[in-house]
Amino acid sequence: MASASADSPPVRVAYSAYGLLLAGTALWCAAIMAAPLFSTLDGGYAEAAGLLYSFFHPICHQLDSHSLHIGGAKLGVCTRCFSVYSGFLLGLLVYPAVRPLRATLLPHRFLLIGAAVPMVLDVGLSLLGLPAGTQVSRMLTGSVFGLTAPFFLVPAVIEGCAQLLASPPLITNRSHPHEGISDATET
Amino acid sequence: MQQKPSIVLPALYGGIIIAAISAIPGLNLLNCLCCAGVLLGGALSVFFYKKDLKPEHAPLESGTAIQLGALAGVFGAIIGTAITAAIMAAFGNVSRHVIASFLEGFRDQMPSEAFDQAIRSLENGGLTIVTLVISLVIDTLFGLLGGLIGFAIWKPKPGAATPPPQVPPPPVIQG
Repeated sequence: MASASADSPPVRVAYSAYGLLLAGTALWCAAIMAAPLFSTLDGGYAEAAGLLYSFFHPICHQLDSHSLHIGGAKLGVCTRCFSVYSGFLLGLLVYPAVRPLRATLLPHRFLLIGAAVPMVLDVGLSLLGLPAGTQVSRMLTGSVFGLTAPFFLVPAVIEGCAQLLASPPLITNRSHPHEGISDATET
Repeated sequence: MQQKPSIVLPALYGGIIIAAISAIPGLNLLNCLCCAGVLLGGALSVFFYKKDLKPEHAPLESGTAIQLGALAGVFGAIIGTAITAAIMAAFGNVSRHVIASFLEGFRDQMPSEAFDQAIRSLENGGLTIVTLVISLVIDTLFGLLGGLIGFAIWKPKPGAATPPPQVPPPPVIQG
């Protein structure tokens, strides 16, 4: 298990960045599920549903036959995309139990590439017209990639936030040009 | 403090890739897979940045990768919208025809109402300020993620030591 070293990001930054990432991902998944729920409700919710479907339209084909449904209405994105996002959320939730939040060492890159290969193959084979893409295969291959991604993104996000917060300000006092830099490096 | 090369040019290259994938009809279907085109552009901006790194520069950091990916997404959204506007002005809504022919392949797998709805939604595919705003939000977010994926792929090896700063040789005093 990777442990946090002396030059690891500060605890406050690590927890804040992780919390923001978790909240953002949960909100994203909730918005995907809210689209069909709104469309089944009476009143002015249909407009909200239309807005959510329009928001997710540029990032997903939203084909009805390739999507999961709630109450007869399709989710905001297709099965594969939803599996990636929900797998990512699940990976984020289990991440602190598997690795310390302040650990900055990333797993080997081939793990990420290997996790993407089944999904790319599934997409490629179905585009070629071969009998590969089923709802189950979309869910499985998408989830594998989604579950793996947090183990690369969380350390990078936490370390990146710590570096950005510690970096010198872009505008410094002209009379004391090094003031901002020395302040930043002390924190 | 070690210098860093500018992030603008590598981010611009990544942004051009994002824009090309998003705007060229047919190629933009790549974005149907969780914005794969935008992720690719963000990741490649990190690759271009790393290619520019010289031994005297600071090694690639995840903070820089975040900035590169996000900036590539911003460039991609702006350039992509401009290219889409130009294509629509010159040839009309080409994307509609390409996507409609792609959907034709799924006609027998889709309920007829869903197929009609998908085709109708293509008719409304105008170019508005809302399109640009949505592109800016989505491309920046996914470009940033692409930058982090690029960092995971092209990160400096843990054992690779940072080269010591080059010190000019002391002047030779003669006589």
